[in-house]
Amino acid sequence: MLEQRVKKILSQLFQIPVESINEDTSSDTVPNWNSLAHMNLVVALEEEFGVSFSDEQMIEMLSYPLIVLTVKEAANEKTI
Amino acid sequence: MKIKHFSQFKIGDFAKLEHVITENDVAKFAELSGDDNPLHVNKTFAKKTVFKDTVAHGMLGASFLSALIGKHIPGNGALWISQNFEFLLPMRIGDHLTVLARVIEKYESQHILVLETTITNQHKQVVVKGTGKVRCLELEKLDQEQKAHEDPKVIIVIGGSRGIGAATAEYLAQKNYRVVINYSKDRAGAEATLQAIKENNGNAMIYQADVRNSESVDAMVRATVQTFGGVSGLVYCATSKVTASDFLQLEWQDIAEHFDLQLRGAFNCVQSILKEFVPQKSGSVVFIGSMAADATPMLKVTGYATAKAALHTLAKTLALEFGPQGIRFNVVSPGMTETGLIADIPEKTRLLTKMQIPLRRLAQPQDIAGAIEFLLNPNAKHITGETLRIYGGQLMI
Repeated sequence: MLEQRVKKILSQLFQIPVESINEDTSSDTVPNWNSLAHMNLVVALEEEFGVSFSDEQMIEMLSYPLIVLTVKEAANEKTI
Repeated sequence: MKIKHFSQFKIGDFAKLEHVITENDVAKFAELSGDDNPLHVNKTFAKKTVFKDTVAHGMLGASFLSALIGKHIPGNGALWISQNFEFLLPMRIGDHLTVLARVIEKYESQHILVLETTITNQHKQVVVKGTGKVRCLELEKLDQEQKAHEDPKVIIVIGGSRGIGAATAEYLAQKNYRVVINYSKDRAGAEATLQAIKENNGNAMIYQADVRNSESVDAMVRATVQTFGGVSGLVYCATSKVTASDFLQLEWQDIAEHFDLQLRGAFNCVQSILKEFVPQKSGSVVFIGSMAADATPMLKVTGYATAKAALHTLAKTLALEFGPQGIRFNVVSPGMTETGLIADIPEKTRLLTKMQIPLRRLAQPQDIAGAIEFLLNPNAKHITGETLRIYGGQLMI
């Protein structure tokens, strides 16, 4: 399931338990979510889902729900 | 303590008091003022003068004006700011004085009464005459209490059947306003708002009126006055749905629809309610603006944003024109608010907006209602032509 795969990446990258990731998880609530970590996150998501994010999409992925929506969006674009 | 308000005085109003001058009065005044001129206190000396007897101090007689102004006209809260006197005849011990002050002019902007002051004796001779100016002080709390009593606190909420309008109607009723819930088509929504108000022991009525029709609006204002005895404010929440379109796909009708409901509707409502506000010299109007029309407008919502921008400017022009008559116009401008109006906005846009807001949430209709109530109530009596932005910090100007 896409959501679980996103959670796993966030958990590994930011070293937080998968169970703690929810709709409120964002760059505000995760202490290590800085600009460098964000770029690592983008790369990890691209590798995991085989997608390529636009510059705009990279900036928009500021929270767990936004990442899920953006990955879905990118996956759809790839299909098209 | 009872305070008579400036507005309660009319030209021609008067007050008077009577006093018989005694030897003791003269002695006390000489002691207090230090004026022990023998003409006032030494009969032997006075006999040798042209007056042939002691003369009471002119200012002793005039001092009774202080009592008249401080206790009767205008009374408590008066500040005597100037006075001139002509002492026409001497006042004697035993003279029966009638001290009279009459309002001959009013300065509205500074709450000043101009008084004609006269003191006559028992022979109907004017012994002292003059003119004084008195400021009626606005004692903040007492003034507000009195105003609260006079103010009908009746608000018409245009578009009160849903969203921000419904939340505002409910909030105002909680704050003891009597509320007219206007709706155009959504009777069920208006009734639900009314029901919620009644469950909290509030006082409200619903009224169907299409604000685009001036006769319909006039009838609503008349019905409000008939039912509640007056009207003190109007909140204009009517708006069309926000839909994004490319400019080149738009037809004029798409734009006109927004202007018809937002601007023409507001125009009709203001024209009608001013018939009540102008004679009573008070009233407060709040328009609901939008962040979509503030600073950098929202992309591709041309009709909505342009009409909202017009509404912002309408509030300012009205504030200028009717400020001198005590009528206030303000705008409450919400950012993205959780109402049916944004039902078509994609989830991702909402989530992104939340992340752009320092307070990290979209506004709730109740947040907007609180700001509206603030602008309607007397605490905001010196605020007009203003836009109160409820953006959670998303845009700081």
